[in-house]
Amino acid sequence: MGAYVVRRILTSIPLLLGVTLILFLLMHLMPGGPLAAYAQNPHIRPEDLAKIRHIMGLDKPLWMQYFFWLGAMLTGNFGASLTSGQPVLAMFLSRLPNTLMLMGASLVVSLIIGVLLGVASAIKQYSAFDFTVTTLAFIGYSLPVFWFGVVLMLIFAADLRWFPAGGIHSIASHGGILDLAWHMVLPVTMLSIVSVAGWSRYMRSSMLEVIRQDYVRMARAKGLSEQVVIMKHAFRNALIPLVTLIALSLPGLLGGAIMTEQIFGWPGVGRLFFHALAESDYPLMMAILTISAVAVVVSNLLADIVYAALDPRIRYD
Amino acid sequence: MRTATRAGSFGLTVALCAGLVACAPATADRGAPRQVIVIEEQQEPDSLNPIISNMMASVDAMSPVFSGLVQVDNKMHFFPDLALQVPTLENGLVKLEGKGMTVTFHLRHARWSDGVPITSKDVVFTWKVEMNPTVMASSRDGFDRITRIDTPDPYTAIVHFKSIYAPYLNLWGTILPEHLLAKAVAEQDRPGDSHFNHCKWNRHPIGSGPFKIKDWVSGDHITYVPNPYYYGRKPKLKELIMKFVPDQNSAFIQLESGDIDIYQSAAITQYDQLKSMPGIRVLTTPALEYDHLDFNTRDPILKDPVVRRAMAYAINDDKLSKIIYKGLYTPAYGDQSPLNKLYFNPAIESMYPYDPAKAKQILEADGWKPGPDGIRAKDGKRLSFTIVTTAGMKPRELTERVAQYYLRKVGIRLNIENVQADTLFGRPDGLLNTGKYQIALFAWISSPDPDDVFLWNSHQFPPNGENDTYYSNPEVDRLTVAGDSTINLAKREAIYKRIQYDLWRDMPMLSLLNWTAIDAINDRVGGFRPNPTSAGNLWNTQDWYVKE
Repeated sequence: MGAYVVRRILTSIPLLLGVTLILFLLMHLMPGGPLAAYAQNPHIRPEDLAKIRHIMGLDKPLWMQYFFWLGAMLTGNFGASLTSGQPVLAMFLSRLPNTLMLMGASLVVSLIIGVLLGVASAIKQYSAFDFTVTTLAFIGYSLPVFWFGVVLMLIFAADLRWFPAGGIHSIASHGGILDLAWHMVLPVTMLSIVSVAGWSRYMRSSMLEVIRQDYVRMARAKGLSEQVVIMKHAFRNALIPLVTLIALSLPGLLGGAIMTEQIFGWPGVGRLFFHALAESDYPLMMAILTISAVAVVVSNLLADIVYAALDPRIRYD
Repeated sequence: MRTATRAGSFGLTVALCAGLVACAPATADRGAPRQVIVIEEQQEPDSLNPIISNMMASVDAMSPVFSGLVQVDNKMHFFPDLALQVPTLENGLVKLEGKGMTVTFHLRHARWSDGVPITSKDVVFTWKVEMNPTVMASSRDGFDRITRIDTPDPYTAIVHFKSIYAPYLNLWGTILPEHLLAKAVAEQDRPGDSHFNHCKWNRHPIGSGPFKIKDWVSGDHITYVPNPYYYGRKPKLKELIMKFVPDQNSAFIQLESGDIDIYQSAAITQYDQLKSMPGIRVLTTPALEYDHLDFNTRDPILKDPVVRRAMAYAINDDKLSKIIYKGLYTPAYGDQSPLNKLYFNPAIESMYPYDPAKAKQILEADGWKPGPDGIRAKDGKRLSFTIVTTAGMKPRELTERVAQYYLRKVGIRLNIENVQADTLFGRPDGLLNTGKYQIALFAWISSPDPDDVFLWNSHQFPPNGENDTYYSNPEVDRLTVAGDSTINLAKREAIYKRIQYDLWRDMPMLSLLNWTAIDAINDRVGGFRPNPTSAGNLWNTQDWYVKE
């Protein structure tokens, strides 16, 4: 196992380098670039534009820019934002807690609801309940965030005034955990509605598979109560593939949800990334994308390790 | 056991929700604070350094914090801010000296928000920073005409221009504190946070405006509190909050729910709903921007002025405004804004009424006869043009459709081929800068002090200048230069009115509609007076208050 982990970490190094190189090149292929706003402003003369390009280091050959970036990044320096001039790592870290809270809460909520619904509809396969859950789950999954988010706000913020229409804190309250939670309700609801579908379907099919196994039939044959059969024998085993999926969804905790954060004015990483994209803020984009890439690799590894730990049939040596 | 778990978790959820709702009303009323106004801003500023930032959001965010020597009010008049008077020829503070000129500013005894006095040294410093090659200044226009600034005493600054510069008042909208920034400028070449382009001051600037920044929560809001050292009347507000609301639908809802008091630049599609929202006033303010069609006069067909004039007759601006802008935008004539009372030439308004018959008639007389498909042609050349604008900008794409409809009625075909903003405007490779277009639809913002050399002088063809219609008229060449080299207002007025007439007659550019800004405000807000100039809507925050 130890050797396997070491091998996986070593092979992920060239993988990540390749990813950063491709990202870097793709970014520079986008039309516009960080100086587009300046280049479109007729009051900025070509010589001033050249000066700004030089100060930003964008006049150097592309390969040189990449290696400068790579060298700095390996020492933990992701550079400074081209728009705000702040260190991009600090910008990312300042938004990270907000995104972790939002995504973490919605992961927990959607997981609990999704698992419960999935188990229930597996036990009552093809019942009216199962069909209703399945239909609702698919409707939820298909709801466009940019529309449904606004509908939620319209109903619960504008009409009923139960929850605030966006933001992370009431301006007067200056923080407070209840105030924060109160602001989280709508965006978390939005995100959960969309992802409950996935979890409940995974759970349902995993559960159905397990229920048909011999050891479940064996448990029933032993005369155990249905509750014990489902909870102790079936449910626990059905959770194993789900654990892998949870591990694989962890990078999303860091990346945030661009649309939801945008609509609800949530100051998270997703919105920061959207801003970076709109402004072609190369260092900021590279930092967020690289950190996300590392998170994907790490969580894949984590998923494999957890899977092996939970399922004795899996061996990596 | 299963049911227990489930009930437990649901119970918890319900309890949590109930708790949250219970605590909601207390916070929704925004507690007690009376003199607090929350203004929405769609984007978050990148930097609050007035020299570096290029964004409108930054201008708004900086306005409460900074003051300048002179400022522009919402009627486009300059008024003294840190200066005691607005320098003009008449009051003797502007003097012509040979080819150049001097402008004298007498400063009032004001202080920075850290208590340090503002002196003429700060004026010199601001100019030097603008001209410093390592500073990422977005524009040095005008500052590069200054040869030196004399400071005979701490409250007098005499600016020497090497040539006549009519918009000399435009350069002094913000003054920088030398005592706080000199080190940052000096350490420009060193890495780290200290240098000017990136220094911490850019996020928490110390200025001399009515407010100072209390805190800036990234991605959420900026809180301003009154600056105790402000020279003028104390602001009535205890706090001013700028809240970043990236989505316009959310802004609409937040205005309705009372989370924000001022929603700036609302979408035209929200206008009717905003009008019917109780407790909300909708302000429509004529803006300085106008949409227009640029004609490439080097094009083999578009070089014929008759064809261009026919299009001016053929398009119904009023209808265009009604269809796309609910009639809020007004027909535009020529290259000066009607808001610019001094320079706008009203005589040109009646030159091209909507008259499709006249359009057909002049095309007919010019030899353009309808072909079998109704499109006019002459000598094998057809009146079929490609129009380009920024892809994805809905109102402009609709404008193209409407223009297409009206032009088709007089026998001219428009083919729409839209591109990304950078493909159209980028320099040096954009379509405008390389002349690879026939008709382009975009907007310009007219300046309170015209400088037409830039756009209409035939020595300013791209890539050297911005005359992207390739318009060439010796009289306009002469007038643009003459206008640039005088600050005599009567002379300038006559010159720019004549240029407007010439341009409108020759029609290298067909102005369509003047923009109108829509701002929606809560009835409790007082003193908010939208400013159409580049000063922005937060130019007079010291006068804002909450009605009792």
